[in-house]
Amino acid sequence: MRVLVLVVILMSCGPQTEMPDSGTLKTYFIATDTDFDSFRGWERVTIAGNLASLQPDGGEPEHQSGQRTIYINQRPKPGATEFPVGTIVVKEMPDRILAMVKRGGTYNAKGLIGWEHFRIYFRPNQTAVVEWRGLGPANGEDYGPRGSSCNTCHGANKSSDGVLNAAFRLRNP
Amino acid sequence: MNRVKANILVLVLTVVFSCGLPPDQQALVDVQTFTKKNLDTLVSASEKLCVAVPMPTANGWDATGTDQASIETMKTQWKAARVAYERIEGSIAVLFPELDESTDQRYDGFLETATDTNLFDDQGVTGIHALERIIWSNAIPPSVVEFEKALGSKFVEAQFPKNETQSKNVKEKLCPKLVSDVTEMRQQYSFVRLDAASAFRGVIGSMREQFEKVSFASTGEEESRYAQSTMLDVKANLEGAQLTYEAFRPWITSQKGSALDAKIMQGFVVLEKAYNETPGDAFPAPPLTWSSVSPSAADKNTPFGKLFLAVQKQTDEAEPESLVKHMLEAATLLGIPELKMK
Repeated sequence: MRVLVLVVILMSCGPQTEMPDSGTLKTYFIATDTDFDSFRGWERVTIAGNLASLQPDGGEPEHQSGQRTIYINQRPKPGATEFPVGTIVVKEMPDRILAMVKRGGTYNAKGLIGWEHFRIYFRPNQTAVVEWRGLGPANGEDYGPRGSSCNTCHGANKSSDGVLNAAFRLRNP
Repeated sequence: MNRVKANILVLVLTVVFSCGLPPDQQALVDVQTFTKKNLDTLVSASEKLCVAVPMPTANGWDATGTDQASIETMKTQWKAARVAYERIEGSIAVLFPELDESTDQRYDGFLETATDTNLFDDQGVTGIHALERIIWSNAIPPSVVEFEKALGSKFVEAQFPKNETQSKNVKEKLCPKLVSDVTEMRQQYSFVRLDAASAFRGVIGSMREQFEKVSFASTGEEESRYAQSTMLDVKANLEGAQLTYEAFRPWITSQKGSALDAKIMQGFVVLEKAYNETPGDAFPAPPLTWSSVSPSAADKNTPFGKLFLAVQKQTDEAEPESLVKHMLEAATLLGIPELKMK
């Protein structure tokens, strides 16, 4: 009986999260703030090269120059042609943190298919908060050549499923 | 009491007293449950709406004859779907921008990026307002027609299906597309592991929705413009915000936010009172001389003017005593920065 009591307690407490609908093969990863909390512990690479050539019209430069550290939470399997659902790539710069998350399905169908873009704010207590999320930057923000969005550059890179950094690109045979 | 009964009593009491989740976690459970319940209603009402779509015939719909009852059922289910979505739109739209667009975009919003000469199929103009535009096509207010005609050459006059192809398209394409999209939304939501920030931002999003809707009312651009039921939408927005906020109250008060909570609750009361003074589903007619920038004293004193000013005052974050201002303060108290809206 005491075991039964313990089992019932364990089953009845804690957040009552439902499992996704059964009988479906579809998988999605819809990130929330806490998914970014530990990104500074992930595999990382720091770069400082200037990619100003990507912005011939003199658009916003900080995203592509200066020191920036790029993190990834999981690498795809060798030979993979796309990043697995649940992949998070974070780009930290002195003044901002941007991220892209492989959400799956046909999300962002007109841009970088399957990926959602984010800007993250990191609190002093080392927890993350989403500043904006979606198909591109919030109104009034621009991270590439003028008039472009995240999808303009990342969406054009089909061979590596939108991940531009050389260290983390897909390595297809 | 025998041993078995005693053990059952112990079991029940243990479960009851051990399940008090921390207030932040309980808030998430409550919000997620509320959202799922409304998504269920949205899917169910959309399905019933589609079942009610008249069977295709060579002459299309007979709106004043054989199809009248079906159209009335469609209207009822359309409103049920609408209320369910408007209760949760503040938290849902940011998670599903594409599905939000395909299901809830306005006619003029679709035409900004495309043209659509076939209003009955599942391409171009789709979703709940596309169906609304057909279902209420014989009752669209002149101000709405005037606004849409001004969209230029892309404008196509609203009408009932007039032949078999059109009625078949509504039955087999346009309406099923809505069901498919909202079902997809519900399915994807089951993968959301909601966090406090996302949930609380939904409350603020619902409040902003209300001002947007009342702002558009004076130009024929209002959201549920064909059914003349945008008042119903804002009431659902408010109800959704109230019910979602309710889940956060224990957490806010546990953070020494009782005074702030009282101000927020007072703000809800003020808005609720303003809405209750507007009976029915439609906004009061705006005065012909209405200006949202500098309304005259006489216009301010009309039913629409009073409603507009009440919503504006409570949703203006620059206003020191507004409801949204206090909500943002509560978000700060909980450690939640504002989510930038697209």
